[in-house]
Amino acid sequence: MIEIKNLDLKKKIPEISKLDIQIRDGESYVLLSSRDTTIDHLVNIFAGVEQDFTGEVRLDDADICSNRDRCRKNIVLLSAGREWPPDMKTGTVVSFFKRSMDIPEEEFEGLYIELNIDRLYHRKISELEEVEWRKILFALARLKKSRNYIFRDFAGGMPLDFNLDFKKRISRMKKQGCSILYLSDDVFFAPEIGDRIGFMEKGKLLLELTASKMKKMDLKELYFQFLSER
Amino acid sequence: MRTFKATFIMEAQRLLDKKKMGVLLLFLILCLYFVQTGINNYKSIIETREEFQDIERLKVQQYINYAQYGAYGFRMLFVPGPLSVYFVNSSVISELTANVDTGERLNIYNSFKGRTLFTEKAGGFKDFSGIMLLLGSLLILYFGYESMIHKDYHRFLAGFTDLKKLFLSIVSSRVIIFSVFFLFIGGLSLLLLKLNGIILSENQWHHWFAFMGVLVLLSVFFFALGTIAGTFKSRFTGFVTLISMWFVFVFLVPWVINAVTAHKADNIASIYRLELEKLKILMGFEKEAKAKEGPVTDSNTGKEREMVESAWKNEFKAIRALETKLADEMQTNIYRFQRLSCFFPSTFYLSAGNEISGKGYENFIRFFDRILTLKWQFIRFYIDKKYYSDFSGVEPFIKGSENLFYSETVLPRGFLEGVLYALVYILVLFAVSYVRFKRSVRI
Repeated sequence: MIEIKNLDLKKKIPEISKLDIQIRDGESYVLLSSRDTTIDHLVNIFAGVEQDFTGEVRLDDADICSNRDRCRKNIVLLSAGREWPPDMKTGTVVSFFKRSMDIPEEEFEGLYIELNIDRLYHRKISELEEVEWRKILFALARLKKSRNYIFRDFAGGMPLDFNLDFKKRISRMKKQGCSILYLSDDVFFAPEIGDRIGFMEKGKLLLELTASKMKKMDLKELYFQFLSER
Repeated sequence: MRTFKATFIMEAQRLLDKKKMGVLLLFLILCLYFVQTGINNYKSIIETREEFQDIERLKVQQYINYAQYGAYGFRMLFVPGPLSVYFVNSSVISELTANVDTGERLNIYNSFKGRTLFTEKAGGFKDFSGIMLLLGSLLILYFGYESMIHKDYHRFLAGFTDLKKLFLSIVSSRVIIFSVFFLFIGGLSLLLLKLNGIILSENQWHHWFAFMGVLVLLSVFFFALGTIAGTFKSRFTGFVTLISMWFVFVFLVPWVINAVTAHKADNIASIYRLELEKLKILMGFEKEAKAKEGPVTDSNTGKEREMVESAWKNEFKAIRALETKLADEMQTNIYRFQRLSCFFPSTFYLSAGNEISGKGYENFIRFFDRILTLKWQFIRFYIDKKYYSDFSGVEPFIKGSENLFYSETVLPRGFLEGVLYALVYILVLFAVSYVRFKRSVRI
């Protein structure tokens, strides 16, 4: 469960104001914001590298400030950034996680098959297709067996088949009781993966819709109302 | 421990990349090439040494009387130790010879005549030690920089492990990897020494290890600087910072310390003035003796002996005191240079290398002292032979290899302080790097 209570974060301008969100186990929430810095600050708060805020952020009843170790174990942060060592081979990355997380070989077998790792093992990260790379990141993140997931526009700019696959995975994770927070500005993809969708503008949560209700609305209109930089 | 082990293996695997291996191999070959050049240089000095002694022996046979021997004197050769193979070009002394006669002057010179004009002179980077400072530091700076520039990678890993643990694992893995690499190069260089028949004494072994220790400290220092440069948000800013830091510590700081030392050395008495002082003392004596006793003839040898003995006790003593004073002033300046050098790891490395090579300031002072002692012994020998012997034939003053000065490898003064300062720098830089690393994983 992910809980954000009365969250306030002010830098040069108010980045987040009085944000209240509760994402239950087995629920996915898409938070849409046109301002990248708001999303960045939220990711930093969950990563534990931004503590200059007021309010409360809790993961499975553990406060993110006072119980950092437990929170780190209970959360996975995934962003689409590609600033990885380009010379690093896929096999090296996979082996690193296997060793550092002390995961038995059997658990990796499923991952090997799923990612067709034999084909990718000796390839450098820079040589991988974006789709292949994101699948690897996602699969590695799943190995952590965390119950809370924060995605930062992870499916943004990806082809349709990846998005469909991602949607299936999200649905499977929800069935397993995971809480998912998806941070993005993609109004069209939001109802596909979120049970609830929140619209933020200038750091404030202005509107919250259920996916079924949003699908009935004019998404373009919603986009121009909340997310366009006009 | 699990994170460290996994990170260490991952970093080691990353190094197995063909391009990186190529660069490291090239660097290794370059280092070994310079060691071999140093060995060739050392061997040539050893060969010259024998020729030098033969010539010196033959010279004495050419003299008809002691007056000629006293006027021409003999020469003394500075022979560096085997560890000088690592410092052919970067040490203070490239080659040194002294001419000892009965005159008031003390001649120590670096020849530019004949083939010596074309030999490597001191103060460059064209040797093992220099190349380690010039290219090794750049390589290590980049190694540190590169360890911190992949922000998304660190962000992802930070989700799986504590940031401090992650930082320490990355940093310590890389420090171990490059330290082992440098020690491996050092090991191979020793193999080259052995293959060339150069054997180190126990003391030289100790100082070899001390040099390797200083080299590793210098590398860790540059690595820590590199990690700081890598934490900048903009890669361009980071890269410019990296190059600037390299320039500052490899060129600017040593240049400033040399300039300060040179400026302070202005207090040392001028060598021309000193020569004049000595000449005045000697000429004063000559004039006084002539006025008192008249010109020296065969009939007044007794008087001449008295005069010479008086000069030995008074004027020569005064001249020696002037030389000793000069040595003390040089010593003070050397001490100042060594103390200043301790403050920065790059200058500490240069200063330690200088002394460990046996071609540094400390050995120069020893050489100077030795020449001074020999000079007075030679003057006494000259007086005894000229005024008290039976005047039959000229006997050589030098016995065996007394005209060879074998330099000893030493540690600079304030060596432990230098190590301590370097460690403090490293700790502070890593602390700064960690704070910046924490900030850099923010989006």
